[in-house]
Amino acid sequence: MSLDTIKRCFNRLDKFLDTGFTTLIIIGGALIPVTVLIQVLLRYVFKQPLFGLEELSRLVAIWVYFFGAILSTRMDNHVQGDVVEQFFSNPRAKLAIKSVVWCLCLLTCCLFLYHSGVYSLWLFKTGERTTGLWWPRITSVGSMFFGAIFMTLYSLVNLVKYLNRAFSVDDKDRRT
Amino acid sequence: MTLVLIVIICIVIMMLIGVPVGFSFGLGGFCILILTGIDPRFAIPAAFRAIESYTLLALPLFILAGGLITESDISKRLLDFTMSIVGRIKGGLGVVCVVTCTIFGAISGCASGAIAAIGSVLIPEMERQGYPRGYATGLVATSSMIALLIPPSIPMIAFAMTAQISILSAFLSTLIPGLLMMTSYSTINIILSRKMRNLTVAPKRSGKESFLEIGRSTKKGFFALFMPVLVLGGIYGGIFTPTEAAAISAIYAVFVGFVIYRKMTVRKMGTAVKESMITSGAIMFLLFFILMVSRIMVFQQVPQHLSEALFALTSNRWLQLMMLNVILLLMGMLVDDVSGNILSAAILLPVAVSIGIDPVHFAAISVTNLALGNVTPPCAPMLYLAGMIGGNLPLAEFVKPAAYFMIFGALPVICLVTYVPGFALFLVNLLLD
Repeated sequence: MSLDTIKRCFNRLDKFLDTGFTTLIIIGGALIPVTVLIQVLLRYVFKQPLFGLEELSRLVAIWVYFFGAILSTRMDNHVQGDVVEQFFSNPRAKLAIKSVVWCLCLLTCCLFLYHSGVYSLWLFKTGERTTGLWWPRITSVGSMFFGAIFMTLYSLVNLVKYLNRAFSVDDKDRRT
Repeated sequence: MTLVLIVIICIVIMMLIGVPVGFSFGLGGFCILILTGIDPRFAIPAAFRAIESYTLLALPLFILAGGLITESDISKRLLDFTMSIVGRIKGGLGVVCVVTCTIFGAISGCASGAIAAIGSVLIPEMERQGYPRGYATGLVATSSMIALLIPPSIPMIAFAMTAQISILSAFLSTLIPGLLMMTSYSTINIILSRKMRNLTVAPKRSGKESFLEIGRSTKKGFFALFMPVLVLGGIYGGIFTPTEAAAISAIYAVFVGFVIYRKMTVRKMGTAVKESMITSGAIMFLLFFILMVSRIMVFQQVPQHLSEALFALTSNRWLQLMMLNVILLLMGMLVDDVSGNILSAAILLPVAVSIGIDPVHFAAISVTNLALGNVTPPCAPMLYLAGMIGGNLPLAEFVKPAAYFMIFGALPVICLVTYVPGFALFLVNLLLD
């Protein structure tokens, strides 16, 4: 398999995942206020709040949070205060700093993946359930493990991207 | 303790080189867990439960509401309303900017939303009426601070949730400071406008004509003006919780945008939902790790040691407060308002409480200081955002006018909030005690 074919496959996979996460985040994001509103209406109009609806809102929200964190990692959009980078004008130095940054992010994601995995596995084995709807806790905690998997993947992609750029900056670019 | 402090220094260094705040705290937290041998099952589930809370849902929902309001023409109607009241005096458009940012704060609680929604309309209009573009940009950037002080404030929700204090008390603590800042900015603007010779002012109208104009703009903007009444009235009237008010605010913005003003499209709504949820995801990821680290720090008695160190430096309460001010200001220059407040609630609040500061008073100190930090160079995320909205202006062009508002408008309010506890706690004691 040639390098171009592998690249094309990766691009397709990236596009597929991006579309999937975007669709899920929009549906989930729209669902949260609707479930909260339904609860308010049931309480005031029908005088009968629906048991467990708040738990449903929380479940949707927690998955949306981790989808958002995944997309933020993909877009390199997390909250950051890159002060040091502003003192460098050399593009290669900037890209080298970015590579170090993503190397540290990858390390964090790997540790997060491991610990969230261990916690999720423990919950799966013990079969702990929620207090309201009596759902398995893994349905919400699983979002953390799921998020960690894709954040690790996108951190690796970002690291490779910045390293590749750092090595491909030519001398002319460096001077500018 | 020494080990934890070394890790905290490493976290700060990582943040300075550009490692995202959440990842810096994550790596730092995992390092402490590994080095001290604390069981991760102690820290991770607690942090997860905290971000899973129903009350914290107010945070993403208000971010969502802010995004939807920006797309629904509500801000334009608010601008038209304030313009009809103060638009015909010299410097009136500047006052319109300040007052609209305040009203925008009362419906969305978001500074970046205020800059995007108001700046994009008002900066070109102010330039057309003779204000220098740099001045207009500086004014919009600094006025956006007010949106963070007027309830429902998103950074305040983040602070209150992390600190586990009443959201309603926290909201009330910055209401008077926010209104005072609005007044001081408007006054400074009118004084500075007097020196601008090229300003064009719309001809004055008779009392009856002005009255009719205000009536017309109120009628056109009724649904926009009703929004703060719905949100704040609902919360303080005990009808909704802040989470429910945030959800209702988001749905109301969609209803007004689609049905009343007809400026919202499905595509715009989808983009607003997507962007708001990505921002919320990034904030929650960060909150998760900050809460994890803060739990470990409490376990290791770090806040107690920090307060002892602060007492060792000085026992003068004023100097201690000044040090907290400087730390918060520097923090605000590094990270955004929400993250800064989460950090402040997790790390500095225990120190502040140990030196005798009321948690709600510290919430007000934190939000006002961090708001100023957000528009203070060199980092100043809100200042740069306003510069981008103002047509990619270089910082040098708008930093001087912004400095006038920061020094003469924001700093005195911050001093009052910090050194006169009754100023921030007056409404809290009056209405909630």
